Amino acid sequence: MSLITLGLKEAATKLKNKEISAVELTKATLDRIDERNGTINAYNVVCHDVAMKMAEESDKRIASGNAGLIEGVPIGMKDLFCTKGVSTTASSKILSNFVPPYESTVSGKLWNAGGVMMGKTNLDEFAMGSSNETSFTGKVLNPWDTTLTPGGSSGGSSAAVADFMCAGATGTDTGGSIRQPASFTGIVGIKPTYGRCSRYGIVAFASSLDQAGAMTRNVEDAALMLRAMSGHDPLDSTSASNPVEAWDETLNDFDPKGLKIGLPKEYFIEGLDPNIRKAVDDAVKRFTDAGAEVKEISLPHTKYAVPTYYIIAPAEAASNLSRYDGMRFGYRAEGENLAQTYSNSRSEGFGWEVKRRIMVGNYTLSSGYYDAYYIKAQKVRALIAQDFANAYKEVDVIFTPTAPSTAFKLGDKISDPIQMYLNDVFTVATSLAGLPGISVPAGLVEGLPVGLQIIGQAFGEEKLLQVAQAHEKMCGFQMRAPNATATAA
Amino acid sequence: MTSVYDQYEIVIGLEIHAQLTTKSKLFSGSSTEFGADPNTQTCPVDLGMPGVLPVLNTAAVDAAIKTGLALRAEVNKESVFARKNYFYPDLPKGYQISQFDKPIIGKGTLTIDLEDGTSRDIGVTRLHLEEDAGKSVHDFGADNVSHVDLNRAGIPLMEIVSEPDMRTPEEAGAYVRKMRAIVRFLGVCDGNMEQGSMRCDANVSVRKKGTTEFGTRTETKNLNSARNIQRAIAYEAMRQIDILEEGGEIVQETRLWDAQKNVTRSMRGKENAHDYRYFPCPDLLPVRFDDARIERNKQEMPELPDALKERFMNDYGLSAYDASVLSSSRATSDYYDAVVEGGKRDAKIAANWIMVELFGALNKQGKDIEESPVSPENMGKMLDLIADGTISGKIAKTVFEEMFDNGKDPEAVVEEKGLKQISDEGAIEKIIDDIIAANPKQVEQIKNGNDKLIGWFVGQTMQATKGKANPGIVNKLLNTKLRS
Amino acid sequence: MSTVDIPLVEKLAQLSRLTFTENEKETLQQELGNILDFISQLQEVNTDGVQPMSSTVGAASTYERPDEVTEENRREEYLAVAPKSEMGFYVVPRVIE
Repeated sequence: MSLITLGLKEAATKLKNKEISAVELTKATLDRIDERNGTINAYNVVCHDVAMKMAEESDKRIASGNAGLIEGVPIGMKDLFCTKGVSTTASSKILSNFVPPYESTVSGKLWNAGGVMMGKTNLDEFAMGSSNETSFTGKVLNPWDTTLTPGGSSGGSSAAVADFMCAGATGTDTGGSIRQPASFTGIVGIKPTYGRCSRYGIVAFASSLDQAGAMTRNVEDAALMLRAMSGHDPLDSTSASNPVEAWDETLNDFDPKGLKIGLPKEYFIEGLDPNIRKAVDDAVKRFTDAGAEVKEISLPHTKYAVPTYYIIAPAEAASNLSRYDGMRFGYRAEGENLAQTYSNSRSEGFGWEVKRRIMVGNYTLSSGYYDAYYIKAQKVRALIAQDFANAYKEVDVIFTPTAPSTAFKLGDKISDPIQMYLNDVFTVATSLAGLPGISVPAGLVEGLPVGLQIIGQAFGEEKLLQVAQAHEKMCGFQMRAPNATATAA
Repeated sequence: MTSVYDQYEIVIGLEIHAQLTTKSKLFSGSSTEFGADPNTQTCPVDLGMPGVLPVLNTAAVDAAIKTGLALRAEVNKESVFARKNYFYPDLPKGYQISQFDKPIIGKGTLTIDLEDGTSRDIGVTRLHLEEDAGKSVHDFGADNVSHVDLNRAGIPLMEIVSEPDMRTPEEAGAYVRKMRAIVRFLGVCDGNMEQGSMRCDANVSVRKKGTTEFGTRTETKNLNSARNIQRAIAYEAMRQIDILEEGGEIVQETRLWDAQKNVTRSMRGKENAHDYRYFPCPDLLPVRFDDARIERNKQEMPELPDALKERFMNDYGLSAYDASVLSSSRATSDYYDAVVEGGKRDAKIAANWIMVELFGALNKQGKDIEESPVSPENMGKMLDLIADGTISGKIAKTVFEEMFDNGKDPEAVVEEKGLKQISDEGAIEKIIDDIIAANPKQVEQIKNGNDKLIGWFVGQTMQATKGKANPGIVNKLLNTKLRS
Repeated sequence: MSTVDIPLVEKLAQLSRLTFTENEKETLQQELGNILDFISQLQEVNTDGVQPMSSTVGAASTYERPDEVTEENRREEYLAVAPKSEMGFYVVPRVIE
């Protein structure tokens, strides 16, 4: 049995039963990281010592019968989550020397549940990007084919999970940053309902959209990991009080018969890659063969979702990133005076994509433009949310492709921002409406994974995960083997 | 001769920032105690570190509601926190969480009391909650650096904006004093202007009397007392009138009051109007509450200065001035009410004793009424002793001094010092007869018409009785014996 | 509505506390222009009578915490991540008031 291919739940069970030890599992995972990270660059920092120490503590807890939900399981932590005493950079030069004196709520919950931190995974700088090419610590390569992007912004987490460098990893998703990379690397990625997971301690990008989520190699793992991450947090005023259920335990209490699946016609227009279309159609057919109903629905404001997102997210980001000024932490480049120190520090500390979004954000917030852009976008957002609410009067869940293509070549889209933004076309509306969404592998196109996105109702994670689980069982998608050579198809 | 200044009217609006006396900050659990070592009362939320989030302090909301009720203002059951974006080293997040177009309190009124005893209503435009910024100090170390202390960053403030209704510096002073009294009465702010827990900026413009258009206004900051507010406004108004009279134009700008030189100076580097890019803070939800919360706050409020003043005037018959003084602070009005005990004692006599003797003694020692060595109970008992003739009003002053210096109660003092008034007519008559007998010359002078000498006999009688003879009886007997 | 010229780029750069070379400003002029054209599509949408949605968290009221001091003095830890500090203060370039 290869230790590194164990799923999260699988490993947790074997550990609890003392079939394997946390120390040996962590060591095997660290060895894998040492072997692969130089190529894939999934991790910004690998925590060899911390991981071994945490693994030893896990073994002690298991021995004394105090095993947590995921005791001893190797976890990758997106380098956007503040981890006390461990470097947290947001893959940005401006935080390259930052070691937080506090822990994010979500990472704290995972450590309390027994998770073992392998390291901090790479991402697009400040989570702004869809290909992990804007990172200060270098791009991440897709384990399926190292000339391709793993997606972004949670590219490091995605690649780490897909390449067996951890059993599960945290991501954050603001417009698709968990789901799209999951699709590109053939894994499961879930973004829960806005408010499910606390945002405290997660370096903020767009406050009304950011959500932490789980990236794993199967649905059961995602359910367990999300369960460990979720819950109301008094430190986050936007965090929801809805109770967290044992989603991993009710996954199979589900019969597709009678499930009403919606297919939004605006997501299946002329120009959608026919291979992607087929993958979704195949997924739907699995369900209809099992007795589900499928219905065409309309989400009329779909085409405005990306522009709406690219008004709201940069505006909130521009304001959130004002604190990076070189005064109290982070990178400082002295100038001749205060004004110069501000602009030197920020201009040298931020990458181009981040600077561009700050500029766009300040434009749409500035006096004279605020009503026409920001307020307008908030109104369109309300309409988008209403579209979903209307749809859910007729269907239970919604199926769409996760991304308009399979993983694209590194360097292909980085110089055309709009092309890059259109990567998010299937995922942003879900974020704008605050709904939960999951990407599950649905097949291969020319040897590369394609994801099916399932969108659920607000706080409907149980049903969402059950449908995802049913799909996984029916689809039989094969993860690539750890030693498969990464080749172009 | 009318001066040119008399042709103009001053238009004044005041912006007051009142620091709340909550134990913790507006959006974090850091302490708000005054005077701590730099940066010892900060946490990641105050410091604007990555990923941290604000969480609203419930007591701040209640403080704002109470203040709104005291100002007879609209209490908005839904209000929104907005980000005010700008860069400054004392502003850790690069934005201040404030309220913009949906403040918690709307239009209200503050009644000001002027020295001539009249009152005037001044409009309040709005009141909102916001977080305070930190402090920069520039007076040590290299001269190309500043030192930043963020203890103050995040302390809750109420920003209270008045309508431009005031027309004289005196009115502005009265407004500030009244606002200060109200927030102190409510216990929401200690109103200490020297320490900066209450700050005032004055918006001043002038216009020719009879015109209705507003002139260009300037904003003057760094006003740390009601007196400085009045002086600064007077100076600024004259400065503006001088400019206009010379044909110039007023520059809309922010100015600083220099209390040493008694002038306002233009502030450098603030010429560019900021684009604050206000938008609702996405880390917070709207503040929403129901009528029950407003009612609860109403029940918790003490009697406020205006109501107290009215009660003192109506129930106790005090003059407007006296009623104002005795309702100027909660401690004073509590003291006064305790002495009068609902009318058990003479309200006017009590008022007089407190305002003259007690305040006089307290002022000499720089004490506040809260620190009075004479408790209201003892003050009351002393007044009782005067009322029932045990001591005379004059002797009472001695008793009071003794109570003030040693904290003793009046009966004990009277007993120890043997200060009981002698009201035995027989005893007094005997003493008087002795004095009359011993001073035939003076008696003769009175018989010849020098009535004033009766006072001398009064004095002699008082001396002989060590001041304890009942003055009424002494006067009666002397008049009977010497004026027949 | 979305004509981007160099003065606008400079004004936004100032608001953002960012400096750009002349070349970068030209690039930004182009890129921002394209982005702004793209997001201006929203003008087509009829939003009469629609309330702006600033949060997906329905009708709830913001959580209010009790007025208690829950933080202790951890100054040394916090100053340890500062670029420059002395005597308990953050040291910053001179602030001119």
